[in-house]
Amino acid sequence: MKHKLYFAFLLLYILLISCQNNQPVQLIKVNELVFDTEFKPTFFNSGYFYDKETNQEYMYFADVRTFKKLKIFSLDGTLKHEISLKEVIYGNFIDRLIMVHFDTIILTTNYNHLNRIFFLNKEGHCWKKIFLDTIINTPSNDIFEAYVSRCGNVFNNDILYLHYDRPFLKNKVSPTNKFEHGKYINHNRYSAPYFLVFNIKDNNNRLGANGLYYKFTDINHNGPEGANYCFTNNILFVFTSYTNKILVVNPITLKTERELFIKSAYTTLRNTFLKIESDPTYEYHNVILQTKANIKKIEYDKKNELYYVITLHEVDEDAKIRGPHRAFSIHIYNKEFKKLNEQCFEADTYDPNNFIITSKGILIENSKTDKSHEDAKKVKFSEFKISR
Amino acid sequence: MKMLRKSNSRNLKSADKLFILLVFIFVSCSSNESKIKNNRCNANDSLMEYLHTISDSVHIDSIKYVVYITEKGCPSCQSYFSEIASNHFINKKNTLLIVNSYGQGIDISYFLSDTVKNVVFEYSDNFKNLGILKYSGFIELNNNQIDTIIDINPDEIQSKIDYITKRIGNSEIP
Repeated sequence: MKHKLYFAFLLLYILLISCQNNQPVQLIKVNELVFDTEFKPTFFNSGYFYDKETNQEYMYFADVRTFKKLKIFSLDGTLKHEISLKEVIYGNFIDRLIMVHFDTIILTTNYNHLNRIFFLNKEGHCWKKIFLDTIINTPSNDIFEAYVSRCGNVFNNDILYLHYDRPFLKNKVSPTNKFEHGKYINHNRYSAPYFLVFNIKDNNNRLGANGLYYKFTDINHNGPEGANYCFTNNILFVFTSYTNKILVVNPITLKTERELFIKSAYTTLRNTFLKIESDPTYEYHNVILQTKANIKKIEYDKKNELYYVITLHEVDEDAKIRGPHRAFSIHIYNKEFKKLNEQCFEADTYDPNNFIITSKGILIENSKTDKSHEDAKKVKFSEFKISR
Repeated sequence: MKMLRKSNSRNLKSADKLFILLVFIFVSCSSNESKIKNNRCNANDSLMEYLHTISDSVHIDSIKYVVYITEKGCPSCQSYFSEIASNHFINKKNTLLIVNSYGQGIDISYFLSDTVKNVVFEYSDNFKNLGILKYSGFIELNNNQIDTIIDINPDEIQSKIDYITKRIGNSEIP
């Protein structure tokens, strides 16, 4: 009887241990955080930075169109600094704000004011202004546009990673035939260097990753849409919204070292490149981006040694919830890129564009349930911990 | 029997075939036309109902032009149109501006001013859900009926904006 009892306990113990081991690694919600920004910031003008001098972590949120303000908070939601951006921003030309340090706030520009970079200090004064056309060593025939990715970190140790886009050449007239014109632009764009690596301290720069677009598509297809890359865990990841492929690029050599393919149990990630004889209207691309399954973000969690790849699920073209508030998956990989789990999140719960890793936990912005302007003036995050 | 039908159809004269074709085209065209008319009637009713619900929040005697401003859609088009609207359509007579933006993609600071009398901020997507305009655009009313609808998209954007600016004109709200 006594032996039977021991045996039963032993069995129960083994069962419990094995059940625990089978539990996949996943994100568990533990808390909510609110940042009273007084405006609705865009995800690509929001972020996280770590101040090495004070060992403090901060969240920042900026509005570069209407209120032209940058607000910096501690992780508990206390407002620490407020910076006016009005000295630099006098029109609609800022594409992205990247906060590296209190005195290194980088502003990059859009199509209205191409190829400029502004550097501000904590008083909002511009201490450096760069016009890339006069600085970078670009091939003399190139007509280029430089952009930064909106899909994550683009900065590391004084190096700013920009995307070099070359749609036209100075010495060549673009064909008038629609099909030939499309091919001409695609050829210029796809065969060009993909990266412009720029040192913000000494203005040193170099171009690299030539012909990288060809790893995704060919000149008979339109897209990828441009700068979709991020720098995390000393790796440059390049991806598009039109395939399930991710390129692992060495940040020093700018050579592709590996190709990864993301598969989802909840949606079909497939090739959605548009043939150039089709009508490449903005609306068509918009429908693809708003409704087809695509890769949204890649982040590395240093503390847990995990990669997170976020993919949005496919919805019907007439679905009520399109865009970033669709259902999405977080694919969890170990540091060798072995898949550990895919965790599914329902539609209209979170906006995974704002997915930020801090020492406290992983923050994902809540979807707005109330669409009033008052509600939009606060940014709410759910805080997650990793459970193994 | 099948053979008989085949031979009958082969024996149809060209004039008969042409007549049948014309009848078919006429019927399909007239049904399309009535569909369009019906759609426009529905859109008209819903727009009038919508304008009635927001009538308390604007100071316009009679609405002839409705300008919808959103940052969704082609970013450069929406941004350009909102810039034109903030420079030319604020406080214009008979013009209602419906702004569906938190100010991230377009500069809405001019619309937020206390002196602006003809702007309504709309965040619930009630206007968008009427299905008249997908992105930013312009609606002209004639005797409380929709007369003209213009969508703002990259196609011929400048001529569309020139037309809208001309229609709204220079008159100020008294």
